[in-house]
Formats: sequence, structure tokens, C-alpha cells
Amino acid sequence: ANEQNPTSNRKMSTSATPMFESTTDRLLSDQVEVASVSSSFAGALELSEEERVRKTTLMRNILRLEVRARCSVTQARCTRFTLPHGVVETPMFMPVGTQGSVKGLTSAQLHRLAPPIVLGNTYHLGHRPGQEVMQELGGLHSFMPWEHNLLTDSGGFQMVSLLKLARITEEGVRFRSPHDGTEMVLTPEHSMQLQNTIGADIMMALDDVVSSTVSGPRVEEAMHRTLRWIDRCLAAHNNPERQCLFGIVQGGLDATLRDQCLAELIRRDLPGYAIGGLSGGESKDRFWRIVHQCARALPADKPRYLMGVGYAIDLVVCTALGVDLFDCVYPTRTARFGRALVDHHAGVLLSRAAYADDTRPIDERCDCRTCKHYSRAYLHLMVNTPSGSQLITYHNVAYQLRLMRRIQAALLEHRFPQFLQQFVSAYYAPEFEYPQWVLDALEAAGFDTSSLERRTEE
Amino acid sequence: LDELPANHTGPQELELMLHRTHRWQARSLRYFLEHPPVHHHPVTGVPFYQAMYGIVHGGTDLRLRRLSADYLTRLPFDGFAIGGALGATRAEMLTLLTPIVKSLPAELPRHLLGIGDPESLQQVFMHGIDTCDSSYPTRAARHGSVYTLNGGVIKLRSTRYSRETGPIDPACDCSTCKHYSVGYLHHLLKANESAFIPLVTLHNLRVLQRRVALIREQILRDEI
Repeated sequence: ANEQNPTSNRKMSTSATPMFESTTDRLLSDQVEVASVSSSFAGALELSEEERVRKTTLMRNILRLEVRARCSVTQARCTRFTLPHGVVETPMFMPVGTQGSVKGLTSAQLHRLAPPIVLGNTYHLGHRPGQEVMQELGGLHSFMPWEHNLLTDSGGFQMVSLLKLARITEEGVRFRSPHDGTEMVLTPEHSMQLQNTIGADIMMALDDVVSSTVSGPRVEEAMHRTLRWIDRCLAAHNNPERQCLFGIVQGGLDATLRDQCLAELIRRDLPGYAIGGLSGGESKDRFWRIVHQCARALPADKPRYLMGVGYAIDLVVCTALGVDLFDCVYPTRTARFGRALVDHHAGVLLSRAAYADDTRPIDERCDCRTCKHYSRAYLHLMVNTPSGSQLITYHNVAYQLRLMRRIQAALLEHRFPQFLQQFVSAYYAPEFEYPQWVLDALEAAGFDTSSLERRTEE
Repeated sequence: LDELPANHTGPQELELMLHRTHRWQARSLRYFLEHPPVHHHPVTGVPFYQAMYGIVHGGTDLRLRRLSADYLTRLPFDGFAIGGALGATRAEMLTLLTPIVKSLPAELPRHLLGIGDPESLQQVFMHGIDTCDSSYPTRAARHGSVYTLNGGVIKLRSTRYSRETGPIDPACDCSTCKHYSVGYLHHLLKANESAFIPLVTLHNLRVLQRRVALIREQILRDEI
């Protein structure tokens, strides 16, 4: 594992040659960049076929998925899968608890809302409280505390987006610690180590994620590197009996690259897959097409996770395209800016003067504690205070979870197309100016958008 | 409505302000009596009324304090508060408190404004005060200072707590102590996470609640 010369001994693949078919070593001709990479980094682990099979089999035992209903019109499905900290029903939204806390909510409140999975960020937790403290305190489940499932991302994305001087190399993500300036590197092995310590039920592979606004050879390089890194992640993952490692499909906005990445990741037989590299600055038109392509190609018997999404309309449309899991900071962040989520694109911006004497709850149909006990008038007064932010956050997370449960119910009762018609129409009422991407994506999913409400001409 | 004199108000000014505050309080009471407010319980609809307290002033001048109590207690207030500065130290405050409390009627509630730390509470209750209010315990909580039942204070920001797996106070029955380790609370504080606030606020208030309940029991048992 500490070989100084990784190129000749590493078993790798390209899209042209299937992986793990032969045990003979091969130096693959189009991995030119690998040959030229400095071989002076230690710690890069190799993955043998036996190891891969052993680990993925163990992970398949933890995560077993059954499809409970399939929409006969769109690609949507309702699934149920197992994880060590409880069953997950999809489609499902995962709130983000960056630093071991979903901002503004106590663990007790989060337990009351009961999202089956909550996200933590490896980059932030790795810095504070840090790996040692996390180890001593028994992992993130005991720390928060949190009874249900956790998912951690690899730390890669935060590094690239937060650190001005982060550089991706074959070794890993090189950066200067913002705390004391020392040069550090987050390798796939180290990310796995950190995530093993944090102890989340689902761990994300360290991927080479490129902004969706970047094009050209960098995108292809990142896609291939993501594949080499998934093998290093699998090799380094020390807890496949209790933690599932998901791979992340990259390839930017290029359908060919995405196809290659999909094929290679699927061959690894991972317990679940994420669609990464989106929700950056790309157009919504390119966004849905990539989601559609990836969701269709990903195996039906494993969860499909779209990272960084999103707004209610995104959740509904991408569910129609076949996505099962979502995460986004939007509901919690927008709450801190005073916006409560409802079935309408504008939401309820509680800071507006119009709400100063509005005695109604945020949403009469919502059964959350905020809506049960607090008026818009009170929340208007409390906007921009910690208490107000917390109350709105509570509602917003409740809203997202309830939306997913409504989608599940519609799927189980075979009325998802009717749900779509009613939800999407109401979301854009009364103007009914549907964004083109929503119409195109829904059509591609199989839904007849002519059933959506239109403005009646006088 | 009362007037709160600034810290270094001179004696003549203080006396003028005292008379003005008396006039304001009389006007407040008159308005209150002429316009009895009626509110209704939000669920049962049962009407309830409001009580009005007078506030004794006079700074650290005992003569003015007695004058203030003498005047205000002739008015039909439902209870009396002691407001304004009572001295630079707790000892000074307690010395002044005794004669002021004596000048208030025994059958009406006596409230002391702005005292909220556990030690002072103990002392002022022993000097005849019935109720107190203060933002101190909740503000201290937000800044990381949390109480223990035996009178200690833990400063959660200190790095010595980063690996602590136990609760703030094992003897405390609040939900924060039931579910959260000091290590986690320390982390939330250092990470600037707002979920910290309700957790420690609840704890400090529960500790105070229990300590004050204990004082009541001790009084009832003639132990103090």
C-alpha cells in the first residue's frame, strides 16, 4: 500500500476496458496523466477485486432496498431501504447539520421532526471538534446526540469552495490550513478515516468535483480521477460492516463523460450513488438533462441521491425524473432570512410589513409546532432574532419532510401525476408562468404538462 | 412609568427626580384605575385583569427611600417594587434593603428589580423580598456561563471541556443535562451554533427554579 511507484502496480480501468476482469497488471495506455504524476506520495491504497467484493457485499447487507411503488407515468418511485440507524422511506429530503447541528434546531427538536437521515460535513467536523475529540466522544451519533441515520460528505467540496488556495492533485486536495497556514492534503484515505471516526451510516466518496460552469479538459480529468479515487476510498474504508460508501457521478455537463462515469461506478457495485457536480451555476436546462440521464442509468435497486437540491419545485421535478434522496441548506438558510416555505414559489417572507398584524399561522395546512402556536404577526416581530429564526427553521424543515411524505403517499396511492398537476399549478399560481425547464423536465419524465393550469384569457 | 436616575446623579437632582417619578406613578395609577384593562384568556375566553405595582426610588439615600415608600404606599397599588441603584456592592445593597422592606406593607408583594444571580437571590429573599427579575441568568447562559445546583459556575468556552462526556450537572433534571454532554455544548458555543442558546438558557433557568424552590421549602420549615 505504500509503494513508491503506483503506476505499474495499480489496477485501473478506462471506459474501454472493464475493471476487475483480469488479475494481470496493466499499464493502460490512455492513463498518460497518471504516468506523469509524481509517484512520491505514500499512503495511496490499492484495491484488489477480492477486497472490493468483500466490502461491497458487507455494505449490501446493511443497505437493502425495496421498491414499494413505481409511477406508471413518470420515472418516480417510492422505495424503502434499511440502514443501521433505521429504515428510510423515499423520496426523502435530508436536512443539513453542517457542524453537528442543523442550524437553530436542538437535537430534541430534530428528533421530533424525525428526518430519517441528517447530513454532517466532514471538513467542518474534522476541523472542529476534530478527529480526536470525535473519537473520544464516540462519534457523531453520540455527540449530537442523534438516534437516526447520518450521512457525511467527503470534505472535498467544502475545501474547494471555501479555501482560496486549494489545489487538486492526484494525491488529494492540497490546501493551506486557514488556521495556521500549514500545507495539508485531504486524500481519499484520510477522508475515509475521518468519516469512519464520525461514524455516519452513509459516507460519500472523495470525488474530484469541478464547478458546473467549467468546461474543457479539466472536466474529463476530474471524472477519471473521481474513478481512481473511488477505488482508493473503497480500499481505505475500514468499517463496511456498519457504514455504506456511496459513489458520486461526475462528468460535468457532458453526457458522454457522465455515461463513462456512470458505467464505471456501477461496475463497482456500490451500495448507493449520488449525482454530483450540479447545483452550481449551470442553467436549469442543462441541470435537468443531466439529472434525467443519470437517474435513468443508475440501478433501480439502489438509492439515487441528488446532491445540493433544493427548492420544492426541484424536489418534485427531480422525483419525477427518478431521484430518491436530496439534501440542501436552502430551507434552513432561507429561514434565517425570514422566509417560510409553503406550496408557492414566493414562500412567506415574514419580514414584510404586511404580516405585522396577520394572526394566521404560516400555513394553515401545516401541523408543525410553529404553525400550531405562533402567528405570522409574532414571527414578523421575531424575524432576525435567534428565537424567530429557530421557529421558522423548524417550520421549514417540517415543510420539506411533509412534502416528501405527501409525494410518497401520492406514489403509493398511484396518483402521483395528479399530485404533480395540482402541486406545480399551485406553485406558480396565479400567473402560471411555468419555467421552460420545468415543462421540459416533466415532459421528459413522462408527464403531460398540458394538464397544468393556465391563465384564462378574458 | 418611573424615572431611573443615572449613576452619578447629585443629591438635589435626585430629590427633584424622585418627586417627578412619584407624580408619574400617580398619573399611571390614575389612568389604570379609570381604564381597567380586560383581557381574555386565549383558550378559555375567561376575562382576566392586570395588577399594577409602584416602584420605590431614592437611590442610596435612606431618607429619600423612606419618603418614597411613605408616599407610594398610600396609593392603591397591588404591590411594590424597589427600583434604582442600591449601592455599589451586594453588602451595601443588603444594608439598604432592610429598612426599605420594613417600610413596605407586609400583606403586599415586594419585588426587587434587576437581581438574578443565585447568591444574591438567596440573600435578598432572606431580607424579605418576594420576587426578583433579571436578564442576567439568560444572558450569562448565552455567553457560556452555566450554573450548577451547588452554586458553581461552569464557563463552557474553556477548552478543558472539549472532551467532557458528562452533563453540566449530573444532579440537574433539565432536558439539557439529560441529553447533551458538556463537550457537545462547548462545541456548539465555539462553532457559533444558535442551537446552543435554548439549551443553556433552559438549564440556567431550571437551576434557578430549583434553588429558589429550595429556599421556599427552607422558609416553610423554619430553617431560614
